[in-house]
Amino acid sequence: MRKNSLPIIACVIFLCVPATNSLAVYGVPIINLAHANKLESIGRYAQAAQERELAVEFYKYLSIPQFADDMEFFLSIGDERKAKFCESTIAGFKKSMRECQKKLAEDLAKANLTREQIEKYRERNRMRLLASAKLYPVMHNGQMGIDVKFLETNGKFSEDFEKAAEGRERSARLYEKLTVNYLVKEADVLAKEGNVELAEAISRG
Amino acid sequence: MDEIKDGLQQPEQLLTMLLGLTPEEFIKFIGHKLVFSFLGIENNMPIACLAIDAGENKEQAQYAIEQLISFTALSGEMTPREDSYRDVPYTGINLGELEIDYGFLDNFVLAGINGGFEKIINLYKDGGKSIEDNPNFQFIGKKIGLANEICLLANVEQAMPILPELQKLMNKDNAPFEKSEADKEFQQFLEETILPSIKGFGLSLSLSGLVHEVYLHIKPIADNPIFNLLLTAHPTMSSIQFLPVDGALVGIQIGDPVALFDSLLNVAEFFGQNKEDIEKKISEAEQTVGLNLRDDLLSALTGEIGVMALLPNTDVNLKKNKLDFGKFRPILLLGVNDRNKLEKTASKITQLAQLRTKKLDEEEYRDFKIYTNLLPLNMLIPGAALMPAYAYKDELLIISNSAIWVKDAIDMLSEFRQRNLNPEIEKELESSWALAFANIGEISDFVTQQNLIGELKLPENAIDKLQDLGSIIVNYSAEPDGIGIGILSENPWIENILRVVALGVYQAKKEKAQEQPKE
Repeated sequence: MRKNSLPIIACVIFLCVPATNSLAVYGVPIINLAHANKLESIGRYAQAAQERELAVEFYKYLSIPQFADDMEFFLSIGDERKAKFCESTIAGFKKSMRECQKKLAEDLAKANLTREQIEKYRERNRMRLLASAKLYPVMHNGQMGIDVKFLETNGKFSEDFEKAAEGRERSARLYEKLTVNYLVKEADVLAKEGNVELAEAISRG
Repeated sequence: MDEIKDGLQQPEQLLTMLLGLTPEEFIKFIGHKLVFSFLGIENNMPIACLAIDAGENKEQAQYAIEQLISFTALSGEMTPREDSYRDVPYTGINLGELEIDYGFLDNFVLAGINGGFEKIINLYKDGGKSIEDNPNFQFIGKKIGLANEICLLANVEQAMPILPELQKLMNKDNAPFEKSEADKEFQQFLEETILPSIKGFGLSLSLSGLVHEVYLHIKPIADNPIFNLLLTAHPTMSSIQFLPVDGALVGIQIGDPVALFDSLLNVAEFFGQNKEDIEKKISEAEQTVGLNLRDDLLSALTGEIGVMALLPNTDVNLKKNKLDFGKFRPILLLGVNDRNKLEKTASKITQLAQLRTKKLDEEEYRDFKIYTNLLPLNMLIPGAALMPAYAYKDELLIISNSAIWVKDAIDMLSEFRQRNLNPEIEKELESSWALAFANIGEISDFVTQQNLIGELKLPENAIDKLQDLGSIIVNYSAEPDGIGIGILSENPWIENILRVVALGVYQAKKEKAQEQPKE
């Protein structure tokens, strides 16, 4: 196709970013689970399995580590109320993840997929998770109401710069805990698949 | 481009995160071909179908559609149902009263509302595998280039019954106001004559192509002089054609000027004027001046008329010196088939108007003779005079306010003949009898240099992109069954305009962040 069209399509999506920000960060596993339930209800177990596996990985590599980091941060600044909220959210995620894993096994059994088919959908799931892992550290500050660049450029009071610093620190931590962690995992998978060069490139960052 | 790339990195990742497609996969999926068909109204509900030819990317398309649909999953009421229609499996969901069905057929992703899916399947299965075979679109489909990426087809005829309902809805929130008699008459004319005569509409846009088309299928329900005027096929433009001028050009072939004059009299009669009265007044005026409008003037013309507005080719500063507006080069082009007759008539009109014109100069230029006259304007401004110059080039009379500008026009007309036009554009212009040409690139360059857009600041890259737009031509052609409008360009302007918008947004965001000074 026409390579030149790439920026055009991307521009359109660019305009939708603020609206989808919130949905993207918190909504993905929930949507996947709800969609999986509906797919099961009409007997499409293969797709339901794919959705469930994506949701499980999302919880495992993104949602839970992100809330764990939030909890650590709130504890460090003595905000116990928010830390408690994070703790209960993590507990909810873990419960949901376990249920999801159980249903995933059932779906896979019913779908009777071949190894190849499973590998194929996993490849797409990994691609989505990789994009999400890169996106989370940037988006999470937006979710916390911190526009780092704006504060740094237009900040007037010391609080503004403290907030900006808090946002930068959070991003740095999340890059380490989510992005780098997932990239290492991805490199591992690629290495096992024999794609050593790509794995090394990812490891180098 | 680097700025766009930086700004787009996140949206690209977001696209992958939400739909599970890389930007390249997404473009391959939707950029192949996309047709939206509006198939009319049944039981007060619109019937439509979106067909995406995903080419070899059907699997990715299927996945992306599923992911899009998954956003409806959070609503407990929207339970999908699996079904099949004529052996094509599909999934259906209900959004309120709207019924959405989507499924996959060969390389196509189909998403229809309120039965649109089934209608497209019928079309596909019943022999005709192209949109042109749909009885609803047979006419329009053959008229516009369905090879472009974005096509919109609408069976307007079937949408007509819903218009009064829409109007009621729109009037609901507005305070009622008393319409004048003339407004009421016009509305009646619109509802009873114009709208029922419009049968279909087609639009075909190419993201990175040069030719875009609009076609309006019209089948007059009444013998109306306006339709006669609009739909009468004219001879195509022969002398003016497509001139890549430094500025703008509007050209039209009005057909036989005598016949057009008669048609205009019929239109005047249709709007309540007494045709015989008008004829009588014209005849009286003709006897007074000793000229016959049809025989002495209109029959000397071919019907081609053009106006060029060329950008100044000398230094100007429009903000400082308003007189610099006079440096724009206006040129009038007139198709003439009988020079002697026209010159005799012109000379007579000059005498009657008591304009004391004087022949000033006669010079040869590129095998053409340029005549310059002096036209004193003492009656209007004491001491002022114009020096109109003109030349004949084949069947064209070129008139301007300076011999130099007439030379510019001759240069353009002569050099155009040596240019190789893009075959797509050439084909489109074959049937054209009206066109508007604007060199957007040159005009935007001039506007920026003169700082004519005032407060609106465009980033430098955006200005470059605007200049890359080159020329845009809008051409019009009429047939007994409809009118076609072609939008043709030297460069893929949709793509460039989107780039300009993206850069504008980026710049605005950047400036907003820098707006408030630090303390």
